[in-house]
Amino acid sequence: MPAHPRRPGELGLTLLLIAGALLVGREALRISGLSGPSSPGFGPVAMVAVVLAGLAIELARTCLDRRGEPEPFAVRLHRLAAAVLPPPVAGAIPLLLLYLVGLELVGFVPASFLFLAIAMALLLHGRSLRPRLLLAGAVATGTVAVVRLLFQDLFQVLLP
Amino acid sequence: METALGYFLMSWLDPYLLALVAAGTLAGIYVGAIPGLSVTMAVSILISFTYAWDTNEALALMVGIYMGGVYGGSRTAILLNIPGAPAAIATALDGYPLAKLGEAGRAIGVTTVVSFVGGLVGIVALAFFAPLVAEIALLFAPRDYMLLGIMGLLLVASLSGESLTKGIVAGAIGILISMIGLDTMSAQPRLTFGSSALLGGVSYVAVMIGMFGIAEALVQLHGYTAPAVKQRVDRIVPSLSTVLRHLPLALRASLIGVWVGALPGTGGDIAALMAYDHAKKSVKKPSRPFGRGAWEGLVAPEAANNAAVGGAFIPMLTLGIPGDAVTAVIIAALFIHGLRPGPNLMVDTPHLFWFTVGNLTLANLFMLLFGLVGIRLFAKIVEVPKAILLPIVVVLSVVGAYAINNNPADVRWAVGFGILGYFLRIYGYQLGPVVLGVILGPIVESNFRRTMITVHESWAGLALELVSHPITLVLTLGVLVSLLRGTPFWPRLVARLRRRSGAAAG
Repeated sequence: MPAHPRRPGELGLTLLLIAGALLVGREALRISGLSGPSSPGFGPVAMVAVVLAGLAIELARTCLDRRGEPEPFAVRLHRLAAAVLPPPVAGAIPLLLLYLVGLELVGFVPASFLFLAIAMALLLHGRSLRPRLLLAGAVATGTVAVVRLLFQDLFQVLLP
Repeated sequence: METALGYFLMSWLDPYLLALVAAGTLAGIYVGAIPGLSVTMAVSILISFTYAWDTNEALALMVGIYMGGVYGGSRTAILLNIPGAPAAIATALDGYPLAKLGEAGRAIGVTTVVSFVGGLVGIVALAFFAPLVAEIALLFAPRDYMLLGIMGLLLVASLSGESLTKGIVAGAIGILISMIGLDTMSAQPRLTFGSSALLGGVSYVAVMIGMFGIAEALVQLHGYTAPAVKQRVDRIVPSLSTVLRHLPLALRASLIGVWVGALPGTGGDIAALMAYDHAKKSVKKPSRPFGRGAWEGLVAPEAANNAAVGGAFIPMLTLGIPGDAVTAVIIAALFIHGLRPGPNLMVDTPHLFWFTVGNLTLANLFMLLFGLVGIRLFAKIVEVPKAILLPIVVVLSVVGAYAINNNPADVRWAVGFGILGYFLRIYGYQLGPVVLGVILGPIVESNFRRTMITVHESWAGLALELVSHPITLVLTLGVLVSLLRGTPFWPRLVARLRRRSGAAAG
């Protein structure tokens, strides 16, 4: 197996997936009727075994991969953030979760408008704040209006 | 025959259905043309809006999106050297050099015409062969469906990306997701962790929208600031002599496309690469060296990937087995409309088959029309900043996820799987195998369990069952060959066989 440079955080993800698979495996073993191949528990247990076997191979591979020079924790954290959660993604994930909460609290139109306007204002770069906000607001308004018109009124799709 | 023709022409004569096929084709070309917005994403998000529709209307739109999306991917492959869809990977090899030589407009024009030729060959093959395959498939037993499902799952090998192991893990995760909820055979709850909210299982469309829509949008945020490359596009419609000169190669490549597209576990991307390889080997005097702007290197993959669309519909409609990730998504959509792709679909609802063939033909025509008329417009469309596009993709994903059952839980699932899918993608776990597992898992598991019941839970009995019937034996051999093809032994075996046949001939 050739040694590749290890991706920042890869070991952590593999261990997390193994922990998740073990949890699912425990739940799979609880399914009554693991008596034979046609029993309801056989498939889940077999699939958990496949996942665990594959992750064990990946764990071994990750451990064999080159780790590079030892670095201070802050540098490693910075490299991890740059590779896995660069600022746009680090901002987008919480925004996405807030959007979910907003959908339930205030409904589709205001929540989607706010989500679109904030996301676009943050992502549009190379402009000063005022034109950026104006453009984001205008596109967000247009998008929400078109989605509502097209899907709710024309296609008869219920909006969240 | 008259009835078949009537169903074939249904969308041609109904203005609303005609408009839906046109709109689907246009949307497919648009989404397929934007790098990062794959045709799988387009189909996953757009079809979710059709669940409340009449089946015919939904089918008309879906077919258009698929046909348009496969073609649309070639745009950015030629203009920006970024394939808009996996099926356009081979197109970039000679398409982009042609654009750099100042022939972008002509290259897109030729691509449009040969894609039309390829699409037509695929549709003719579908019309002729699907009824034959369906007749054979009517003889299938549960063990045969299990083997077909396994064959489909082996597509994981070609969708795995950097690591086969990661592909298998992703596929198994997909199968586990499909097992959540009440077991259909024993009504026992499985993997619900005691939660009654999980008894109904996880909607596979929410998984698809999360994985292909939201996760993809998050991945695209890496380097979203890269400026769009602008290309001058002129001289669009190719001359008749150009088309005629490339027609024989386009037809040969189309046949490769149909064949490869019809094999479970392969799709337009493999078809295009094989056709490119065929062009390299069969064209002795290309217009330019391959890789430096040879017209033949553009014609072959483009004819093949659109021919593969018709080819992929053969196993999809007759056996219920997807050819690639997009057809897997379409199968899921058919399930939601109460249709069960497989031999019985052809028996119970033959009109749907001819209706689909008619829609494909129509979408192919629209593709030619929009492709030739809207070249300059599409060249502009791909320049829309991702800062505007990606948040819109997220909102459409949310609307699409909610539209399945009008259940807010599906939106939460889609977002959850989107975030999980993002981290999996970042670490090299491809999401195609997850979706494949979600869709094919239940087919394989239920038929495996039925087969095991018939052989009294005996593994020896199962082994005997797999070789004791002619159709089953052929399918077993097919599975074994597919398995072998995914291992490092396959290239060595092929090389050895070639050496042996070469020595025998010499």
